[in-house]
Amino acid sequence: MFRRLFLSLVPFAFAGAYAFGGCTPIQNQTIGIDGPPYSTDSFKPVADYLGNRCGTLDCHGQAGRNFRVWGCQGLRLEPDASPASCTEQTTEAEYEATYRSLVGLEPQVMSTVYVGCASSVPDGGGVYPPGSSCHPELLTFIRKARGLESHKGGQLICTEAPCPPGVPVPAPIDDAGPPVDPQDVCLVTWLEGQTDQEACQLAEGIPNFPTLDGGP
Amino acid sequence: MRPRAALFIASLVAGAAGSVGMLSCADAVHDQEVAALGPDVGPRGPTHRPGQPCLVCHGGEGPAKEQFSVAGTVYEDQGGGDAAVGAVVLIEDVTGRTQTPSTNQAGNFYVASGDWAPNYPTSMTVTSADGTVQQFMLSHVNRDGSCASCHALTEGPASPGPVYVNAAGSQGD
Repeated sequence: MFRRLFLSLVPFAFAGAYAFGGCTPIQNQTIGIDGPPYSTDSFKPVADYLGNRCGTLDCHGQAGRNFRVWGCQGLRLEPDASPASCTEQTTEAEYEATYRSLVGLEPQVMSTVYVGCASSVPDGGGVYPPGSSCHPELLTFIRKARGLESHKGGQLICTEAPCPPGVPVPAPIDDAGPPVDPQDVCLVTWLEGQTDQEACQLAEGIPNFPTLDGGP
Repeated sequence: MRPRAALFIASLVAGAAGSVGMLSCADAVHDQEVAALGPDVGPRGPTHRPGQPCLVCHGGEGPAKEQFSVAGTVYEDQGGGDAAVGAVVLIEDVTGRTQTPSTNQAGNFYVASGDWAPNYPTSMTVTSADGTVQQFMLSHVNRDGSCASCHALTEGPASPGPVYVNAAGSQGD
């Protein structure tokens, strides 16, 4: 009788041991995202463009948005900082917060896109149009900006004419090279890990209002 | 059951189902936004509810009948509550089309949707009634026609506070 009882308990003992093994304490670990590495040099031009174009208080400068942009033209990180004035410039913490928001928006897709894009460029400069392994359009924020997916703010980037009213028609940068939208060049080269700073500076000038800004 | 009675019952059922369907189409978020504005104080009309986000009610979802594309309130001196009367608001959309409404006795201005619908983004300036002071809005507006959606009465990390003609220490920034 004891033998039978012993044999019947053996499976439970194994199950218990297995379950106990599965309950080993979870270690605190950082779950990595393969994204363009953060540095002020590489991300500040991108963030300044995003702050101007997307980060107004009525759009992605709102705390409730999935994609949040912080900066002096919109939402501030510090409670006592002045929003939408730039009397106090965008802080390093705000650049970092915008970076985390953007990279963490779709972590798996970001990893896939970055690995594909970074592997397609040589050191020393981004490539536009990107190589065949680079697919920025997999990222929702790129699709929305390009007008490939519904976006309350409408199409913001136009890579090929005809373009919607008010969205700049692709033109050569520095009067040389193929016609491009500097906004797209800025974002794609950042995803390649080689931010084209000149393109980002041009992108920061968009939108341009004919009367109040003096025209395109 | 007689055919006429059956038809009557079927009509009642269909009517009830339609009513439920209508109710389920109500926008609870919009209803809450309207309710959050509180009761109207003073006479209704162009001078009512200064400083509030006009398009919550006048944006097409009701309850107001008149629909605006852009509307807001301008105050005279920074920190004060006096309305800027006769100030001129220049609104330019990204295609270069402009509107120049003036503020009324309450500091309110509005552009009717039927008169003008901007291609966002827009840029804005405010000029005092005597034309001596001009304020440029630093950032543009991407999609919200209510100034007060961002320019709340209280300044904070998500709001620069009300729009003033005479902002402290500047004549436009």
